[in-house]
Amino acid sequence: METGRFHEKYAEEIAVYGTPYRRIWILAVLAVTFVVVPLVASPYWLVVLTLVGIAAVGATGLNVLVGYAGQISLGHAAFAAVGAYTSGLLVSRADAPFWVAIPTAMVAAGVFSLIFGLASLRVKGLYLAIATLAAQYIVQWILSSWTWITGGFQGIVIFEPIQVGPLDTTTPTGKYLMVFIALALVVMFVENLMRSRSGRAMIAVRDQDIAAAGSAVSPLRYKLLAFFISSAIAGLSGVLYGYNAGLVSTEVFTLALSVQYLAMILVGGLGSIPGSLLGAAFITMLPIWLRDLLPAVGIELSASVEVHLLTMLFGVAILLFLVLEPRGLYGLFRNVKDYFRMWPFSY
Amino acid sequence: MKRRMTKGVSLALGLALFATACGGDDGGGEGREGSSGEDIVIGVAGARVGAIANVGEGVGEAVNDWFEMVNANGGINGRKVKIEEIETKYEVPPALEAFARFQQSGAVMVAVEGTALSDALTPVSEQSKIPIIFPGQGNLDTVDGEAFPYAFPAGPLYAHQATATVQQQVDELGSDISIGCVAWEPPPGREYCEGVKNATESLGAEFAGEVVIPAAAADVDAQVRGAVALDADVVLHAAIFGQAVLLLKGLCDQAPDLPVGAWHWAITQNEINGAGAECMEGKFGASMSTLPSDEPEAVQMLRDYWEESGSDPNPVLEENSLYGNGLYIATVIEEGIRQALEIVGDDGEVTGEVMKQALESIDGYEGYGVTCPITMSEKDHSGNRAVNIYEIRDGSWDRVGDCITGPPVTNEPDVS
Amino acid sequence: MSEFTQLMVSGVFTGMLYALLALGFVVVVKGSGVINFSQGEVVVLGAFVVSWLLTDVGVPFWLGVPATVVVMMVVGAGIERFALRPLQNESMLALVMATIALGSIIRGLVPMIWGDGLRSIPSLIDQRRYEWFGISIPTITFWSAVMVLILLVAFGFFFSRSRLGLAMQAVSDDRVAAQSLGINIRLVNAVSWAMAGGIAALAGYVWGSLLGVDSRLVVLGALIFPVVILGGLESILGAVIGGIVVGLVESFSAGYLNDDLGAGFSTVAPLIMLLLVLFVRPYGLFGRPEIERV
Repeated sequence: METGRFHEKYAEEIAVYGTPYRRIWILAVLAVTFVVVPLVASPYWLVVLTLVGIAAVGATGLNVLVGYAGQISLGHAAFAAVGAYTSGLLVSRADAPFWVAIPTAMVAAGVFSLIFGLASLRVKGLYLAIATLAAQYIVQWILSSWTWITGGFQGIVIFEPIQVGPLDTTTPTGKYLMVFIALALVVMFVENLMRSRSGRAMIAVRDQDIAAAGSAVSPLRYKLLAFFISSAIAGLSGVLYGYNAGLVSTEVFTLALSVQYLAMILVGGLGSIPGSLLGAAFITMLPIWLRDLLPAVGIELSASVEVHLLTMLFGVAILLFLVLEPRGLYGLFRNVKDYFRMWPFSY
Repeated sequence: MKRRMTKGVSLALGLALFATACGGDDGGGEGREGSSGEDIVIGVAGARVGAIANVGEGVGEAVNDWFEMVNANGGINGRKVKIEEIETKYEVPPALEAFARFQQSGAVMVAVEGTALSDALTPVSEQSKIPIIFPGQGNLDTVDGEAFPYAFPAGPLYAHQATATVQQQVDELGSDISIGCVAWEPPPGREYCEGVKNATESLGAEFAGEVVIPAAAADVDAQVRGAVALDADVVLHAAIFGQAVLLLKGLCDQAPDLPVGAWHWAITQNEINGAGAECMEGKFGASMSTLPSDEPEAVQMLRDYWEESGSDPNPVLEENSLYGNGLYIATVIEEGIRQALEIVGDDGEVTGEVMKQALESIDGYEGYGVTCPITMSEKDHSGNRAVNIYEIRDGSWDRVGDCITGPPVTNEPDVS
Repeated sequence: MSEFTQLMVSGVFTGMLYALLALGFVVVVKGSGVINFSQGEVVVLGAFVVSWLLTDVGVPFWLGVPATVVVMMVVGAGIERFALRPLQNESMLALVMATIALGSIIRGLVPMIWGDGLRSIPSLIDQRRYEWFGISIPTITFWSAVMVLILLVAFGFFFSRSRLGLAMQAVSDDRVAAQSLGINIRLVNAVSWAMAGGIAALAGYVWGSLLGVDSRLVVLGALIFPVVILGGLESILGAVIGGIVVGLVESFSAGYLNDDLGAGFSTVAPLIMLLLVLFVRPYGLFGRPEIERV
């Protein structure tokens, strides 16, 4: 009779396959993602899932910062822009191959973000939120006024499609695979990061920085590291965005996007990878569901009322999750799962 | 353990690539495109919320009203037109989703509101072979039909509006004038002022300089003083909404006698109500469409339809002059469909590729009195480069220039 | 020279308006320690309420503005009671997130009630600008600056003389110690949010009169941060001086620097200054230098 799952050894804490079933689950998810979905989904759903995937990459990145290191960023859209423009310009002007351009773009986004991190992370408190808000506005200004970088008022940078063997990013299937391959790599990286010394150091700094400093874990260093990794992943989501749309322009990476990333991890679940994915899916698809389902149950709203209602619902959802279930959707899922697993002796 | 996980991932990736290779190309062509006798679906990527809300309202209402009327009168050559409008909030990811949805519903053309969105949808329109039209917006490069085969500005772009307005001023006041420009910081505004600079140079007038209003500026006092300091004979501006009102108010206070002209998103009732009729008296602006207050034939047709069907006239027609630009877009869509049916026959299957061909065969079309003559070809997607100039007299818009075209824009792709 | 004087005077006066925005933020930090990312939205709400009362309902100015202040104080207290109090013992992260969520709720709610159009606030004085010694100042800006100064004095008295004000000072110094001395923390929190609401009503009136009322006013929220970082997050005098400095930086960069550095530099100049201040003096000019570095 199972009454719960208890870790008796430290190795169990950091095991990837916490239970024997976990391995089967992971393989099943991978099989569905990479084989079943591309074969059966309609082009429309591939497009929607691709958008979910791009959002999930950004949200997973942000979750490293917020969930594990306990800092807030309101500038992740700006770092995504830095990534997108770096890779786009490297490919279009310097003829760099994409496998050089993409990692360079991620590093560029990370390094750029450190300017703001260095200014604010030395101080205790949530000053990073304010500094990154500044980053958001500064980047938007640079994109629209320094035309020698962006190459014209529209700041348009065309992303040459990636065509490697059967992977062709001009088709919905190709875009979908590109994004989900990237997402799988990001998830694997973050999962492993959290099992490493660095990941645990971040959590220690978040929970009790004085104790962490006492154990020779430098709070500044690990906060900066988390911020760097998080922004680099945001940069990757910008690159993916560019390949998905085929180009980027100055008006894409707005503050609203940064706030949406935050909403995703809050609704999905702070400090959990499945939470980031669930949140990204929820926030991306909620407008679509509302649009399709409300008329089906006889509620006809004008387009603008629907949008405003959504904006409000985002806020309400975040507040409700903060108050009732701070672990988000993933927390809810776990509660339900545990209830049934331990039934009839649930408590 | 890590190695096993890597193995799992690589296995899955291999399978995935295999799957795509076998799955083949199911991009495009999946949705039921307007096949024989069925409704023809047109997508509208709406923007009724967000940065360009009153454009979204004017255009969205006009397009929907127009095709309600067209369908009630029996459609185009017997074919009904279904307008599918999806709100994008003027944000790009929702626009990409909306475009995919249009494709799934079998849309053969998509009307887009806002330069950010028309830019963003240009590559996917080409990949899916569904033309997008965005009259009055978009970037100058898209006039080149060979570079952007599925993007159709089909109307005067920002630089064209600027050169035409300068032309009208030079016609009016002679070439011995200096013209200053106030730009809105985002790309369309900058492109407009570049056009003003171009036109003053080629017409022998003087360009007095440019002042830029930042997109996020809360206060434009400094820009107002900057514009006055240009000491120009005429100031043209490319500001919108609240900032346009502020700018006009400021200029009325500090330089009441300075003639001020606007691009076509700033000749709305917002400016008259916001800055006051007294201030706005004598100000002028460009419009790609004939304003509804001139009662062009298209507006008459709508009024007749409303009267016959006993429905109330849409108040937006009176309240938002950008409804006129919406009628421009609607009539271009109608003509495109008519040309398409010409190509495939009244019961034939209309596809995105047919629509492209159809749009490129539009010749001298005047949109029931709403548009300046539109002609497009495979090479030239501009449609026209002409605007009407309106001046405010007694609190309402008075037409002082008909379909004026300015000198060519220097950095425009050569499409002749 | 006259260009210089004009830039300086308009910088100072615009800066006072920034201070008005920042005051509401500072009061909340003082009373409840929360970094409020929704103050911009609360100001927008205030602007819509006052514009609705004055134009649609047709209430006269002397009744409409105080009524808005009262309404917004109730809103502020309501926010504290229903959104923040349930999170009382949660981390600062949760509180900040809650304010971001509140901002989202207000951004959706306002156009649902009042629509997406641009509204206006009827002006009280016909004359739109004062011209003194060749320097021109918008009337509304001038009188708003006077109002800010009066508020500043009033707050000065409130925090140094009244029992409640002293209690708030004590709470902002040390919450736990204050609580153990019998100070009602809930009351202090509620009062500080109510005050922030009231200030937002005034800021909404002033900024709405200047710029017209629509939801794009939320960009004002971003202007608060350079002001409070410079002045110190919890200093009232700092907010006013920070506001003036930001106003000056913006005015001079608009006047002298824009063309060289790219158009629109004036809007980001205060933000760049914000970063510099964070590097050099993170507790602001008037904040308490006890902030811990890590």
